[in-house]
Amino acid sequence: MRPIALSLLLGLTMLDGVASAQEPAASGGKIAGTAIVVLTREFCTAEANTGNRTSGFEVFRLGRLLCPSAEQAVRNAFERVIRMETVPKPEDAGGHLILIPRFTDVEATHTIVKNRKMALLLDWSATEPGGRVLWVQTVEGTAVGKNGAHQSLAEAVAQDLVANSTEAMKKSQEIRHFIEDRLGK
Amino acid sequence: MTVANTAVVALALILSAHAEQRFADFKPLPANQYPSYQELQGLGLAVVPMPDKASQMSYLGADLLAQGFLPVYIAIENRANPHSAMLVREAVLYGHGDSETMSQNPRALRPGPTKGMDRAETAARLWGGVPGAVGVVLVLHKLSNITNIRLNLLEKELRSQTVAPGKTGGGFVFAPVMEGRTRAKDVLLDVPLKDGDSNEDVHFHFRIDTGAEAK
Repeated sequence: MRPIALSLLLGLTMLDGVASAQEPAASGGKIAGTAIVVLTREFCTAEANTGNRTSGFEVFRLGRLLCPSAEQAVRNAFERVIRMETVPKPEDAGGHLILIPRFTDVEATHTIVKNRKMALLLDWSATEPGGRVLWVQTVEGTAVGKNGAHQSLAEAVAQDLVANSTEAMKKSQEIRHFIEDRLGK
Repeated sequence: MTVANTAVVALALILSAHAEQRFADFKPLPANQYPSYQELQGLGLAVVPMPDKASQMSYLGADLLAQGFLPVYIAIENRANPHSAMLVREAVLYGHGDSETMSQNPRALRPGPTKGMDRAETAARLWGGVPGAVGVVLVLHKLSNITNIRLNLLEKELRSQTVAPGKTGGGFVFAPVMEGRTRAKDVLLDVPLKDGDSNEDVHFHFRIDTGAEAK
């Protein structure tokens, strides 16, 4: 039996609940401004492998989870959000903040490990319409599942990632300063 | 189920019972308390090499130097710059001794080509040397640890970050130290911090002794 097949078999037979490793961020007020979130085709179709030749590889279709998660994170943080597939030219950005997520890394313990853990990293950058970078931050999403079932584990990670990304944006004084400057406060 | 499959399942169950490994948290001192401390434009940065096996095992879970990687903690302080400073992880470069070219900081699994050795390869090397059939249990046991180690490395490695005035940041990089079959005497690190106002990079350069004998 190939290792990956064993992993999947054990993962399914020991299927159990999945819980987010962290509490969701406190839901404060949204940032009173408009943000453009750039969700490229590449980002929304991203896949990643974990594992190795001995343990077997797992393929995570992360784009399907990350694309809506990234958009949701921005919608939770800002009052108004514009979604684009490419970075707009300065003259097309309407003076708005531009947020760009980029998948960085994923890691998971083996499917046969009790209390399986998965972690996913997403890099966020916030730029002015002219391209000046205001803020960069790697945000982590984690989840622990009692057993196997990588898709449900990945979904729990994505939920955690939404909460942590929203919190990071709300806490960013660089983003707040940009929005306040734009509003003339 | 065949005998072989039964044996593998049994091993897997044994493995799962031993899979959870705990690692100590690395709590750095303020950057200016390290000998390597440098300060430029109100930004402070220090590198903290971790060459000893005991510390590596405690904090990272593996003897990485024996596998050709020197863990280095990078401590960042925005002490007196009025603007935020940004560290973009991919902008951190490493080189060896007298090399004139620097490579991208090696790190994690991500789509597209990566330069140098990445964390997955590092982890793969850790258990790759166990020989023969007798090694199967060891391989599986190590594998469970390795997957845990990989998560630990992911959580402790340097990430892109914005350091506001008065704040601190940091994380580990895993610098390759091998030049062919020998360990390089020095590792060079170039750590740029981007000024949040001008977006210009402030470069911090370090030369770190790997402990290898001079050629």
